[in-house]
Amino acid sequence: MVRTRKRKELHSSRNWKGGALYNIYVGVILLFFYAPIISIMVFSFNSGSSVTNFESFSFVWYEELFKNDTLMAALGTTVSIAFIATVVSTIIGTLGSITLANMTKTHRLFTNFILNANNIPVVNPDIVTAVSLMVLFMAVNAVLPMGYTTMLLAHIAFCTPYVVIQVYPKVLRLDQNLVEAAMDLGASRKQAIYKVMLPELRPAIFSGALMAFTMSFDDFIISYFVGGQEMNISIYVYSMRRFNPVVNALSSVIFLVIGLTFVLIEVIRLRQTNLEDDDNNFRRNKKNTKKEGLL
Amino acid sequence: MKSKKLVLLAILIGGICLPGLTSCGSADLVFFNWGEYIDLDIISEFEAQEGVNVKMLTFDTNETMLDKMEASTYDVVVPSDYAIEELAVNGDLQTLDMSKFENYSTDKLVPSLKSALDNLATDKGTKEGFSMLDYAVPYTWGEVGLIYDSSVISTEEIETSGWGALRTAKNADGSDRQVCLYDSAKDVYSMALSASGHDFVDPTETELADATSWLKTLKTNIGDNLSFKTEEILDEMPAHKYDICLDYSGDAIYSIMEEQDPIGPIKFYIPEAVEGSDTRTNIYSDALCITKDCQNTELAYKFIDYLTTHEVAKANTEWIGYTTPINSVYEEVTAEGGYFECCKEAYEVNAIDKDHFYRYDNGLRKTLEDLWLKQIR
Repeated sequence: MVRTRKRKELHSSRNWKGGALYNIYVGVILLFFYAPIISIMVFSFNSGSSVTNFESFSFVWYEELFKNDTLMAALGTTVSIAFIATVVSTIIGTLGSITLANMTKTHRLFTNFILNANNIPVVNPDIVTAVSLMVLFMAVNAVLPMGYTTMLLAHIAFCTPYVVIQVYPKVLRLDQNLVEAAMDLGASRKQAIYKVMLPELRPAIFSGALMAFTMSFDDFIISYFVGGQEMNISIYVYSMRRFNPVVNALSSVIFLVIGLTFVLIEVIRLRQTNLEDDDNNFRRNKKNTKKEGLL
Repeated sequence: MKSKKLVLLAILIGGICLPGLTSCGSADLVFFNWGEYIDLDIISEFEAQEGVNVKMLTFDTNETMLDKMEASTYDVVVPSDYAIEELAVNGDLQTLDMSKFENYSTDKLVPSLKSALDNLATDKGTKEGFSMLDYAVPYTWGEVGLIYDSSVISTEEIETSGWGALRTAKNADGSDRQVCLYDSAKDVYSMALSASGHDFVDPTETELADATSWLKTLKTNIGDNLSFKTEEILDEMPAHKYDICLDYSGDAIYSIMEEQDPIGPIKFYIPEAVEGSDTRTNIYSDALCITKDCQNTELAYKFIDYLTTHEVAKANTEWIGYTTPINSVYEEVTAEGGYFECCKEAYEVNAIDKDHFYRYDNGLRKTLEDLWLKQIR
């Protein structure tokens, strides 16, 4: 209680002393982050193909974007691969983390080994992963020709470690008593996992999934080597002989979609915490009245 | 409550994915092309006309294209001349059956391109000839030359000093000359070999040493005002960032057209061969080939044939901005009032017998890259 009050005071005093400086600093940093995105958005409405001088406002590149079948197919591939890879790797990563965390005490050596093995794909240069995956897929080319499936498998493979990195530490820190209490109170093992463990892990699972999605969405090297006839947005952009401004329009659309998704998620989260707070208050009040009644 | 939201989210994202998944369906023809190297309306029209589905994939250099050909199969590819030779030597291409074309025949090609390809097909010294037309139908072509800003470098100077203009430190007005070279061992060394009066197809060691010293003089003369760039030249030349660049004629067309004033100061010039030498410059051509593993040869022939018809080739050359190999189109767009009248000097490729194609020669490629990294860059 005391600590929070102190922090509050510190915060307010800083605000009072250097408000303008603080705002300018934050403004500059934000501008630095968003200036490229703003410029790409502005130039996506340029009627000419230049990225240096703005001629006049038009939607011509958006029109071109939706007419460009090759690019739309590439977009479809990117989004569907990212989505499926995220779902699959999140499931594998989360279940793996729970199991590993449960084994940590009894099989220390084994879990350490697995965790280190999990870190290697993360720190391994992408090009090495890409070439080795290509060699592997070439060896089994007769059964599994290179294409959508191999690209998807590769994406699941390199996304899963990111989920484990996010979720495993959280499982370790989880209060084991909670699960045991749930089971004591009659929950089955399954129910204990679904109703107690997973909700506790939700933020970690969510950030793991987010990481996996981003990694998959903008991957170039691995997709390039194992994609065969399949092409995603990164491959399309990298192989442009000269810059095509439809990429401006595409980037703006992607940014808008991702931005809106985040706003949506934030709104949902705010609502939920409000609901939970209400719930907690209600319970607390109830408890208090009960206590009073007992006394 | 929560699961409902999840389901909603899944439907939302699934909705975005679905069009992608369906378009991944079976393609009747897989076309492997350079990025931004075809007018997409042409493909749509062909698809509508034949009732087929053409899938296009793109690459950025011949080398990545060759790598990808190893790992996967494509039906129609558009490599450059020397890469076609490599593919042909490795047996990755079909020999074309001319009787299967309704429209295309080698008579329709621009005469100077045809004769350059005939030269390529004849044996020269120790080099065996390569008949590219047996494997490929030309798609675009051009030559390496100089693109320069005529407001600072006079046309007379370029004509008298030729490639040497790249080594002159000062402009006529006393300012430092800004020089840019295409960042590729092959192109720069070939230019240096021609500039020092040698041939670049099969150079000897002493000839290579000459070229190296030619380039070293260039480096010392120009010093910090020398840049090595690739695609950036396209936009940086019209922005007057450089006074003179080694450039492909196809890229030069784009730079000249990008200028605000169509008869602006940017010009393109191919220096004459050094006296006594029979090498002027490098000629190149990207051409359509049918692969050995082609799934639908009939359709591949139809597609290539379609691309060579007058109307389609005209729309395509105007979209890409590279010189067309089809003679009737070539004459129409460079004639008075034609689309490329403004930049004729770059669009018109007046190939002569002293212009040579690169050859598939891994030994030479390695030597040049070694020299380039150790001596020049």
